[in-house]
This record gives sequence, structure tokens and C-alpha cells, in this order.
Amino acid sequence: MQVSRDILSKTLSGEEVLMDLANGNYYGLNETGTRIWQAVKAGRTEAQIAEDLAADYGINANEALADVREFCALLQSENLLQP
Amino acid sequence: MRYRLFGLTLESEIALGISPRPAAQGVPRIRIERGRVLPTARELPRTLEIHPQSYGACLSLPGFGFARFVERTRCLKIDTPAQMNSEDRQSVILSQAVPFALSYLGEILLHASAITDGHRAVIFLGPKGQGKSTLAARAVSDRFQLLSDDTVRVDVRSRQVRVHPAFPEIRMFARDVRARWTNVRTRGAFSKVRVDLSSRFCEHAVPLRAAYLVRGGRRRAGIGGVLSGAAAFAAWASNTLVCVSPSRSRETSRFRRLSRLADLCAVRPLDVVHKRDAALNWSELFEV
Repeated sequence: MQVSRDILSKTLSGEEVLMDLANGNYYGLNETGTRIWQAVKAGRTEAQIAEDLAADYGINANEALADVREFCALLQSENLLQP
Repeated sequence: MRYRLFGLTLESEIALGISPRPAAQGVPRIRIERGRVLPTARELPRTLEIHPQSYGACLSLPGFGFARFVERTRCLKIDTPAQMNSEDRQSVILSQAVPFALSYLGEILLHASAITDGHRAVIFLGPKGQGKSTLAARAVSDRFQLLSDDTVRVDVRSRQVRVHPAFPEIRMFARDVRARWTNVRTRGAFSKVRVDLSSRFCEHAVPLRAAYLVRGGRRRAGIGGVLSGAAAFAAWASNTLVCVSPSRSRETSRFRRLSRLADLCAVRPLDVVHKRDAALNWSELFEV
């Protein structure tokens, strides 16, 4: 999974903002979304990201993985990420 | 005739109803002409592909015609019905066609109003109907100067944001003008009138001091807390006129400048009560 070619991003006060050059749409991510986005950019897998989140937030690993998958699927549906 | 609009020199063969300024020197950034906007079938290439370089970007003005901007020639063609009155035509050119062309060129144009004390500017962002123009009119009725009523051009530099004066007019309902001023010149503009505020207009660019997201019709007036990073960016971006140009580098630059804008200038919600011009602490708006 990687960031799509047409996406620009920048971190503002700890939150990521994105722009899709293909259609001019802008997106803003909250703190957790920003963390997942930055981890994807760094080349981490969904499972690795979920492990990190589960450890940091003290939540169930399976629950974290489901959330990460759901969020990444959402980003893919918006063409922000590609498989 | 040459005009100074949005801090840039423009040349127009159509009279725009505002005084051409002596300061409007230099090479015009845009030339405004009358002309047919939609190409005929013969003019189109066989592939029926529209090439932006040749045909430009077209803006449809529902009910009022079309505008087309061709970057290569910097020509903004205005195609409005012959029977359209000149006041309405001028209004369409000033408030829609020119901002469209400047946005195409990569400028940052905000749907906002702006006022100044002569040294610093305050911008009011927000959706239509929240009272941005009313706030600007209230400020001008007090001791401030107008920079822009509806569309604000900002120039984002590495450490400073500068706000450019648009043109010396404000659009309001006639009854609101009568309630506020008796000595101003007005002319028609669709359902509103254009109020000439030349004497209360700041003609030079000023640094941006503060930005507010206006929320009108509230019961209690007040300034809210600073919006977070993504929310501040959303406030700037959602109030930016976007005319996606064919240039990838231009859109990349616009994104970088918008994020820089969100970095440099905080946005705060501003709840206002316009009824009977409820008290507003103008100094506080400049000092936050």
C-alpha cells in the first residue's frame, strides 16, 4: 500500500492535510488518521500500524487492525492510497 | 482603460464603472474584451478535444452568459446577452469573471471580506449569508477602511501574508444602505446595489493580522478559540476559489501556499449579532 502519485500532503499543528491534484479536492485527517497516514508513507503494513496503535492506546490488537483496515479502505476509495 | 483590481493592473475595453486609477501602470495581467466565448464547430479540432492552451477555460454564468480566459494571450473574453444592462454586466465581470481568471493563473482568491486600520488587515471568511459584507460595512461605517467586500486576493510569502485591495465597492440591499449612509453613490447590481466607497477604500496592500470564520444570526456575540491545524486549513481551503488549472506545478504551489497560510494565520470562529448593529469590539478583532 502506498500514497497515490497525485497526492500532496503537509502536517499542520500535528494534523495532516491532503490535496488530490487530479481533482483539486482537499482532505484533513485527525490525530489518529494522521498517524496512520504517516505510517503508510513510512512503508509500514496495516498489521504493523495496528500493533503500534494497540500498544500506544492500550486497545485490543484485532480491534485496532479492523479500524486501520477500515480507514485505509476509505483512503483507497478516495484514491488517496493505492494497493 | 486600465484599472487596478485585486492589486493587479488590468486592461478592459468594457467600462467597469469604477474609476481607472492613476496607479494602474505596467503590463496588464489580464485584458478584458467583448467576444464570442464558445468556439464554433469549425474552430474545434477534428478530434473534438478542447485544448486549454488554445481555447482557454470557460466559465458559465447561468442566465448571464459566459467568460473565457486564454492564458497564452491573457485575454478574458466576456460574452453576455446584448440586452443585459451594463450595471449587471460590470457586476458579473468584477465579482465572477476576473476572480475566475486570476484563480486560473494560480492566485489565491478567498470568498471573504476584508477591512483594515491602514496598517493591518482582518479577514472575514464564511459561507454566503453569514454577514461578511455586513461586517465590512459596519467596520467602514466606523473608522476602518475597506479592502474587499466579497473576494480577497492574498499573497502568501515565507513569513507574511499580505491582503490586496480588490475594488472600492460593497454590495448590499438598498434598504441597508439607506439605513447606514446617506452620502454614498449607488448603482444597481441584480437584487442588491453597488455602493461606491472610494473615499473609505485602502489602496495599498497590508499585512494580515487576523482571520475569522463568521457565524451570523447568533444570540450572543463573541470570538471562539483557535481552530486546529486541519480545521484551520479547511476554513481557508473551503473559502478559496478553485479553478483547477492545467498546470500541475501551479496547483502544487497553491496547496503549499494555502498550508503556509494556515500555518501563519490562525482562524477563529466569530459569532455575530447584526441586528441593530449590536456592539462589536473592533480593537479586539485586531489584537487577538
